[in-house]
Amino acid sequence: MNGKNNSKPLGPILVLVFLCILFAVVPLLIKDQYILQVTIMALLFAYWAVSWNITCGFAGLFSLGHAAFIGLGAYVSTILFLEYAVTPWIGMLIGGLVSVVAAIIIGYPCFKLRGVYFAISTLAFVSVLQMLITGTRHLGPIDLGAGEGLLIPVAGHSWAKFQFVDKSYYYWIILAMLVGGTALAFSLKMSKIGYYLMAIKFDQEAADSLGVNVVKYKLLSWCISAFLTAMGGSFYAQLLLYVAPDRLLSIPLSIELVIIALVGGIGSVAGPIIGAFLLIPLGEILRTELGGQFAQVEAMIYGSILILIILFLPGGIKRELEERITDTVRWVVSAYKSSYGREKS
Amino acid sequence: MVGILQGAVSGLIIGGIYGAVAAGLAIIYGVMRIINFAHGELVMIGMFVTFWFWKSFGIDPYLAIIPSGFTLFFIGYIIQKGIINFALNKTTEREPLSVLLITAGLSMILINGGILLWTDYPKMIQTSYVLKSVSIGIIRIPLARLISFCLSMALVSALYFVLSRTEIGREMRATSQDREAAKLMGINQPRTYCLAFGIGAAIAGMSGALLAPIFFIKPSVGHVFIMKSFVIVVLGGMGSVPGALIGGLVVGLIESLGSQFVNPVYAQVSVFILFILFLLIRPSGILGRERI
Amino acid sequence: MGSDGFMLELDSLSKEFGGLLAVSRVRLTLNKGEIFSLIGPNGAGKTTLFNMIAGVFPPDSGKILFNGRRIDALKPNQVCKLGIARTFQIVRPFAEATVLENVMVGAFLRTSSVNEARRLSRETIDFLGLGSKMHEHAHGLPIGDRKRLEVARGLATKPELLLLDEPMGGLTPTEREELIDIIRKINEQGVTIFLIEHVMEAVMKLSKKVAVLNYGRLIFDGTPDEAVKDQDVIAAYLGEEYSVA
Repeated sequence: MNGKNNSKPLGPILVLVFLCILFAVVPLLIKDQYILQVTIMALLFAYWAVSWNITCGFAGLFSLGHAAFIGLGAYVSTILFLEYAVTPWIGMLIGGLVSVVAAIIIGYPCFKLRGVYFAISTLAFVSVLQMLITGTRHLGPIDLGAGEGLLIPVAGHSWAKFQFVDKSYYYWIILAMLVGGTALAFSLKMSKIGYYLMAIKFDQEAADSLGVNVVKYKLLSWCISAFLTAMGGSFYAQLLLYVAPDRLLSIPLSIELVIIALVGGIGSVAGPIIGAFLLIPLGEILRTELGGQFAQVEAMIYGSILILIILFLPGGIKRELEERITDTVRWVVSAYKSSYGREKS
Repeated sequence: MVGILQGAVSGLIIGGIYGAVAAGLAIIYGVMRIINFAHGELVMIGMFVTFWFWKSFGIDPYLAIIPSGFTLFFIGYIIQKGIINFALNKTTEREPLSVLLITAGLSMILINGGILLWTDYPKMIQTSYVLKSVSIGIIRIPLARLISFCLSMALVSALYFVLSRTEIGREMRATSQDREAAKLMGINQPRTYCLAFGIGAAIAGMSGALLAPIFFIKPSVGHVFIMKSFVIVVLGGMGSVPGALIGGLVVGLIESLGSQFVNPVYAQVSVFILFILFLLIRPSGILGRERI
Repeated sequence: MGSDGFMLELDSLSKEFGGLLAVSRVRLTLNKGEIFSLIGPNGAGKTTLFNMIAGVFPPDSGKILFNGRRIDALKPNQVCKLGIARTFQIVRPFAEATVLENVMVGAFLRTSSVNEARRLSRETIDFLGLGSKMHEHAHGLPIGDRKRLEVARGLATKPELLLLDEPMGGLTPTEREELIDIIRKINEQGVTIFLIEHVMEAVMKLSKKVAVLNYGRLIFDGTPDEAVKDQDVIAAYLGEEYSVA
C-alpha cells in the first residue's frame, strides 16, 4: 500500500489525461448506445471504487460490505420517489444521509476490530440488510418489494424524475460524479485528513501518540465513503429503473468493487479508476463472446484475478506501472548522462 | 408447548449438523488463524461427490462420507500447499486479510465453475428413508436428519479425538497456541498447515455427505453454510472445535425456536446481531476459550 | 499553574498486570526545563510508567499531574495535545511514508495548513540532521536514522515534555554522541526531557536528576553522581552486565 508520494504525482496526471480522453470521445460514443452503456458502468464502478478507497485505501478500514450503502442509497431514493414523489435528486442526498447514519451505527462499534474481523462484520452487515429486505414485504404502509424488488415506472425523458431515454445524459452525470468524487478523494489525500488517515492505516497506536484522534478520523473517512457510495446506488437505481436485494445488497457486488480497487491499486486515487476501466470492458467482451454463460465465466475470472493480484501484485497495477515508468525514466536519464559524460571528456 | 419442544428438537438436530460444518472452519482458523471464505464451497463439493456416487453407483449417501472426506482432504491439502502457504509467507499479519481474500476468490471460482458444470438447478437425493420419520415421545424427527445428526456428533468427536490424542493433533494444537515456539520445537510448519487445512476441508466434505440426503444440492448452496459457519465459530469461540458444536446447537435452536414466534427472517437476523455482539464483546465465545 | 510549580508529578502510581505489580507506589516530580532520567534493570517497570503518563492505559491507583492538571484518565491523543510527546522503545515509523510525511503527521497537531506543516516539518528534520533523507521512505532507513525520525516526529508536535524511551538502543558510539548532542539542543530550546535509558554515558552526560526503578519500586531519586554511589542502586545492578559504553 502506498505512502503518499507527494513528490511524484503521476496519479493525478494519469487521471486528468484519461478524463480528457473521455470528454473528447463522447461525440463518437453517442452514436453507439451499447458502448455508451459499457462506459457508464465502468464509470459507475470507478466511482464506487474511488469511494471505497477513501475508507480502505486511505485509512485501512477494509470493508467487504459496501454494497450495503449501494443498496441503502438505491432503496431510499426509490422508495421516496415511489411513495412520496420526491425527486431522485433529493432522494439521492437523503439516501446518502441514511447511509451515513447506518455507517455510524454499524461501523463505529466495529472500529475496534482488527483487519479481518472488521471485514467480516461488514459482511454480516450487508447480509442482514439483504435478509431484511428480501423477507419484508411492507414497512408500515410502504411497499419494500421483498425479493422481487421495486420497479420504477418509465417516464421517458425527465430531469425532475432523473430518467433519460438517451443514455448520454446518464453518461454526463456519472462522469461528473466521478470527477467530483475523484477531486474530493484527491483533496482529502493531500490534506491534514489524508495524512492522519495514512498514519492510522500504518500504525494506529503511533498515530494516537502523535495527537491523532483515531476514532474521529476513521469515522470521517467511513462516513464520507458511505455517503458517496450511496449516491452511486441511487444513480444505479435510476439507470436500471429497478431495485432488488439479490444484486444490490449482495456480497458478490461488494467483492466486485473491492477487486476493481485492488487491481487498480489501493491507496492511490487513480488506481480504482484504472481497475474499473480494465475489468468492466473485459466483462462486456466476455458477454458478447460467450452469451448465456458469460456471468459465470466472468465471475471465475474475477476470482482468479483476485487471487493473482493478492499473490503477485498486492499494490495493484498502478503501483506497478508507476515503478516501471520511474525505473525506465531513471534508466533513460542515467544512460543519457553517461553518454553525455563520455562525449564531454 | 408441543410446538416449542418440537421446534427446539428440530433446531438442535439441524444445529448439530451445522456445528460439524463449522468445526472444519474452526480447525482451520484455530491452527492457522485463517478465515476460509471458501468453506461453504468445500461442503458443496462434498455434497456433489456424494450425489455423484449415489447417481452413478447407487451408493448410499452415508457411505459416501469416506470418498467425500478423502477427496476434500486432498483438495484442501493442495490449496494450502499451492496457494495459501505462499501467501502466508509474504505477510506478517496474525490474521491475514490477504488469505481471506484469496479464499473469497476461490469461492467465486468454485461456485461459478460448479454452475457451468452442473447448472444451478437444485438436485435432490431420493433414498428410501428420506420420507420416514421417527417418533420419540411426542416429537417427530425425520429419520435422515436424525442419522445425519448422530453421524455429525460422531464426526466432531472423532475430530476432537484426533486433536487431543494423536501426534498430528498435538502438533496442530501446539502450532495454534504459539506458532514460533512450535517451529522451534521442530514441528514442520508448512506440513502442519497443509494437514490442518486438509482435515478442515475433509470435515467440510464429510458434512456435505451428511447434508446431501436432507438438503437441496446446487453449486450456490455454499453461501448458506459459510455465513452460518462464521456465526457459529464466533459464538462458540474462534478456533474451538467443541465450541463449534455448541455454537451450532445454539444457532440451530435460536433459528428454529425463533421461527415459531416471529418471521423466520428476524430469527436469522437476530443470530447475526448476536454474532456482531460476540465479536465486539466476547470474542472468546460462549465457552470462553480461544483454543482448539 | 503547577502545584508547587512541578511540570510533571507522579503521585503514588501503581499498576498491576495479572497479579504482578509492575509499578508500585511511585512518586516522582519533574521540573520544567530539566533533563530527568529513569533507569533500572530490565523489566523494572519503566516503560509501563511511560505508558501510563502517555495515556496508553490508566494507573490502577495514584495520580499523574501535568502542569498541575490531572491527566491519568486521558487518552494518548489527548495527552499529546496537552504537550507531552513520546517515542517508543522499538521505533514505529509509518513504514511506507517518507521521512517528511512521517514528521508532518506530528506537525499537523498544531496546524491545519499543509504548507505550514511542511515548513515546520522541514525545520524539525533539519534540526535532527535528517535533511538529506527527507524524501526517503522510512522503511529503508538504518536504525540510527529511524531513531532520529521518531524523535523528529514527536518534536514536531511542539511538546513541552518529551518522553524518550531508550533512544540510544541499537546505536553506534558515534551515533550516540550525536543523539546526546541533539537531546541537549532540544532541551536548550525549552523542552523538558524525561528519558528512560540503559546507556549510562547518556544518563551521566545529560541528566540533572536520576530516578532508579527496581521491580516497580522507586529506590532512588537524586543526582547522577549520588546515584552511582548509592548502595541500593549498586545492589540492584550487582552482577548485571551493565553498559557504560
